[in-house]
Amino acid sequence: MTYSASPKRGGLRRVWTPLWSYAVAALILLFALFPIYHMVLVSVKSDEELAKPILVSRAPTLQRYLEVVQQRHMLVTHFRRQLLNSTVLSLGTAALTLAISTTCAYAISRLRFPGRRTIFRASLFTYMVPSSFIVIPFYTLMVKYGLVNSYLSVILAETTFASPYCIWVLSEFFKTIPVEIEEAAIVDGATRFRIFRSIMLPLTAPALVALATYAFIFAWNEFLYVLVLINSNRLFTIPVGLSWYLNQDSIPWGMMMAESTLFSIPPIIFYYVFQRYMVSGLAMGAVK
Amino acid sequence: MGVARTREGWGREAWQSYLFVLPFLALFVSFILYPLLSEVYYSFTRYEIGLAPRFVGLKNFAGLIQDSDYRQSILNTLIYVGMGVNAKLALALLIAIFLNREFAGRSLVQSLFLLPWAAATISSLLSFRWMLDTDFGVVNALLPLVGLQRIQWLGQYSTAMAIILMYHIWKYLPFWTLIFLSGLKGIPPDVYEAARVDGASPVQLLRWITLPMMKGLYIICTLISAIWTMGDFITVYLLTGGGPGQSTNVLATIAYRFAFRFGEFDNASACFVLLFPVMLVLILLVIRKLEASAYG
Repeated sequence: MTYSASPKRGGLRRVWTPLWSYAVAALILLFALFPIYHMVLVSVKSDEELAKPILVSRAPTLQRYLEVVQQRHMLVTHFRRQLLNSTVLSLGTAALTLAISTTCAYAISRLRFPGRRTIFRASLFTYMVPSSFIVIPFYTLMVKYGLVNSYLSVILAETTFASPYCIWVLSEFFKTIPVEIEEAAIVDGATRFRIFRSIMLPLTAPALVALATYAFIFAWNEFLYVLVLINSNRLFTIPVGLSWYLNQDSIPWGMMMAESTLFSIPPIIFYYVFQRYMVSGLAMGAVK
Repeated sequence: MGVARTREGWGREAWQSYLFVLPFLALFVSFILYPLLSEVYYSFTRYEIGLAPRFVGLKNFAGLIQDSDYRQSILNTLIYVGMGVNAKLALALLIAIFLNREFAGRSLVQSLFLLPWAAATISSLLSFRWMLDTDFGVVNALLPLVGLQRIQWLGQYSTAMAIILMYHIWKYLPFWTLIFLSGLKGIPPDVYEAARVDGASPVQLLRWITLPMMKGLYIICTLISAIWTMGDFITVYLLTGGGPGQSTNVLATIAYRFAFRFGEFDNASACFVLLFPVMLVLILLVIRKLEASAYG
């Protein structure tokens, strides 16, 4: 399938093609990577370098990371607490999302019942509706039930918005498992729930891990709902805690960039490991 | 007899099915459907924080339409969606076509290119903000080197909007590129092979095979991206906070301001409800298109 297989294409072209490819690639990467590089750069600059807009640090230091983690800076008072909050929120969302989306996806892909299409449409609708459109009535609802300033409220919101994608991807996965396995189990007297638990879930285990991760990162990145539903520095997650520094008279940029870099490490790892699953819903649904 | 047995089987299975979908259905009804409906209700009431809603008809809408900050935010949302989504997706398609070709180091380029999407939103937003700082930002420090004056990037309307658009494109380009890449990979190679045997040039392959085959996916992506971008909050909130003045607000940030600065849940709800028809039409269109491609 190589283009250069045809004898008519000369040597010049063969050299030229990779050359312009690399020029374009370099341009794209410069655009994509510079802001990330800048974040890491500022985080390792020494204090004297911080005010100087230089592109390479002559004396890089990890000092700021230590200060963040040990909370030694005057303004960084709740980093560990907020990291714990972010983790609890994300783990809670991942667990609940998995429980809700696996069962729903199983029913959608395997069981026949009136309203099946409607449920799937409801989940597509939820997938697409921008969460900000609902934040006000969601907030008043949580006020009514006394759930403001609790993680349960944010977890419920995140689970609602993260589930549809998992339902979508999982129902495609369940469809790939041969029906014969289930039929054999039914003949042996297994109930639907038993089949779901002992056959379907184990067979899709890798996808389940990936989707739990998706939900985890979904909640990890959440900003608006935490901003609205949580209102104490101790209860903030890292994103809202970070944005809080912007209200300070003297914004501790070096510290913020160190914290931002730390905060980005889990999503970057997860996105790379589970890249395929992160886009497969739309890709499967739309590419047919 | 056969019919009766099927019916009975179906009945039991249906009953069990509802148990399986019940958790999601409960979430959908309580946290999507009910809030959407109550938002519509709030938009027709006088509803300030701490007080019970009281029906006032179309007053909120009448007030909003005369509110120049709100009108500006709608205009900005249109610019944000119209320019942001189109520029982003056109670029994504180009880059996907570029990355779909074989060249040494391609997978490394692709992996690095994904970083903006993988890194946490808050992290890159703050990095952008500091890069563009008027006094200490690295961008302004580089400008004199090419003979330009320092610019207050986020302090004036035109550049602030440009930065907001640029961040949006920067952040979400990789995601859509990946989607288009998987679309490109789905085009059967023998289609290209056949055309090449017939003497088609690379440009002709692109024009008559790649683009037509990608059209359906491109349209669906445009619609979905438009819906999501319409509701984006964090980009504007953290880059400009709606400033300078209230000039760069978009829909979500102006509604947030109404609700959580002034406690006006009525006006905040009305902000969104005015755009419900647009959102609903777009979502229904996508659902119809997705179902057509999945079942057709």
